[in-house]
Amino acid sequence: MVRPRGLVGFIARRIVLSVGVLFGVIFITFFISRVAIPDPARVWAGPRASAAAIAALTVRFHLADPIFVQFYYYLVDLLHGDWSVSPSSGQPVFTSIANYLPATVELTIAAIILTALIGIPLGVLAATNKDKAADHVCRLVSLSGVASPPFLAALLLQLIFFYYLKVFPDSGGRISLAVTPPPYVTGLYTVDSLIAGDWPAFVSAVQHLILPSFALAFLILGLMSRLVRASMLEALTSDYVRTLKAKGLSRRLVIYKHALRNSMTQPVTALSLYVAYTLGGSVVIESIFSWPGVGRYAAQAAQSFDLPAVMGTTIVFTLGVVFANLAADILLAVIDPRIRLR
Amino acid sequence: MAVGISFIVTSIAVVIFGNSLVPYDPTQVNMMATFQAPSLQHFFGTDNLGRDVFSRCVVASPVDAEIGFSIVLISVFIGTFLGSCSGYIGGKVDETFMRITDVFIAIPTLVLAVVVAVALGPGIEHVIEANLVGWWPVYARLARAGALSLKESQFIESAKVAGISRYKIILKHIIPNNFSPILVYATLDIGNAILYASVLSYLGLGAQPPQAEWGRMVYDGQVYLVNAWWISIIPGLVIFAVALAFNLLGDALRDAFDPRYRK
Repeated sequence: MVRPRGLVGFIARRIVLSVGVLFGVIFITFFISRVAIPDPARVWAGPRASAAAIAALTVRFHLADPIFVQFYYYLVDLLHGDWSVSPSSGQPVFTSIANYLPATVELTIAAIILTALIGIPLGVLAATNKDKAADHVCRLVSLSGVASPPFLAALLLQLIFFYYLKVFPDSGGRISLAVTPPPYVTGLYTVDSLIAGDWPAFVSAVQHLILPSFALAFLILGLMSRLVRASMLEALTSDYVRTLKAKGLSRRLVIYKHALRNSMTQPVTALSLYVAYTLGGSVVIESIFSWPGVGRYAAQAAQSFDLPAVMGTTIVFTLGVVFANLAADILLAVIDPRIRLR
Repeated sequence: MAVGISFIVTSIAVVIFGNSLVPYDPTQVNMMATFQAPSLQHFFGTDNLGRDVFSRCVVASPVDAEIGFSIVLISVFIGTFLGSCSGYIGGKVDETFMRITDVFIAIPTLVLAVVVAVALGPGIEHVIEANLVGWWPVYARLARAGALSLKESQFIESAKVAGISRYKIILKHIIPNNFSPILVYATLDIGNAILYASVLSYLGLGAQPPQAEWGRMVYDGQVYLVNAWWISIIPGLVIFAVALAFNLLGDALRDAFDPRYRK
């Protein structure tokens, strides 16, 4: 069988792989929720459920049937958007997650943009000043980010900027209570308010977005700047850069136009990693900033030991990571033709 | 490097001897001395129940240390063995194994740990188990990479020719020679493990009150953030300091082992 080549073939192969990964995740969540725990129906019904409720759940989810039958119905339910009801909120898991998803998407995108805006210059600075003061400062910043528990940065930011400096108005939420959210187009308040031409809403949305996205970005800044630094160092000592310098190209052009572009492969590859850490961190950070996203939903569910809700979150978050992986792969294939041959 | 080591040595001392060194009984409720700011009598202040925050932090250290070390240690064992086997044996086994690790790595580790912890219920052992599920694949990958590169080397060839069984080769030759990158990563990782354990406790999944645990203390103290920041922030800073120390140590170890950086 001929392996399809070229960009389309590459994307097709990547998609097939992603589907495989998704299937694996679904199997793992199934295993955790049905097989690994002794009495699933009781767990789902919640601590105060009656025997009738537990029996109803057992019938509905075929818990008395053999594993393969259960798995079949599990798949069917998943694809139909029936992710069972969360015992702690009483709401269907799928609907809740769908409602909260845009908020988390907005936060994640903002965090990654911030990470790139701060992390890339930081990495370049560190690489061009290797072993000097700037390099050490950058190393310190990135280390702090990596070693920080997510709640620390979030709480400190809140303390300093909300309470002491009073820089940002209002507490928590995505938009000021006095401002009406813009009409729903994408679900991202910043984008939607721009589309609607609603300037006060936009300003308010951005004000509320800054602190939580910075708290999130702080966690992965270190990772990105270290990757950029390493790639830049390699690029700066390579033959083609030496040729460019020998040809008399200005230092600035060499760094920004050539070396930087060629050192982007590693940081882009790590995109799925950034998304993974951001989504994980959002569980804590959304809670602290009262950001109504999937992360906060998961945190509240975890506190109530609400298994269906947490499982739904896991599947959605993994979907996010898989998409990010796909996006990064496609981006790389477009930038670097050598990758398509793999 | 020096900073990291000295800090860790002090921490280890605290962990071992801590319980006898605390100035106050960490469980002692004292409603007359609530919300006291850090001072000479109470280094880290007191919390909403008048308990000395410093003592609670000290007493909490064995808990987090145990969790962190257990997670990393067990993951290293499982991951290294499985990864080395997979890399050495190669072929379809290796392919399948790689797909399996791909799945685990695709799930954000924290989220996976939360799911498993929720399924298993509260308690420290469950925190360890929950994190293990997402932790071992990384070491498997590392070990596999090392096994792949070692597979072709001369001394492995001669071992094969000598008729040594596959598993003996893996156990006696491949794994020991792959040791240093795994050690470096594991050292860095202990800090991470402690971070994740504290987040799980923050979410209420690990240590249960009244047991002292850094993450839990941050959560409990959040409500009082504005008026008594020390209850929440200081345990967070402790976690940060410990994770930072392990990161510094791991970095230094990596520089020491990497021939490119030798002066």
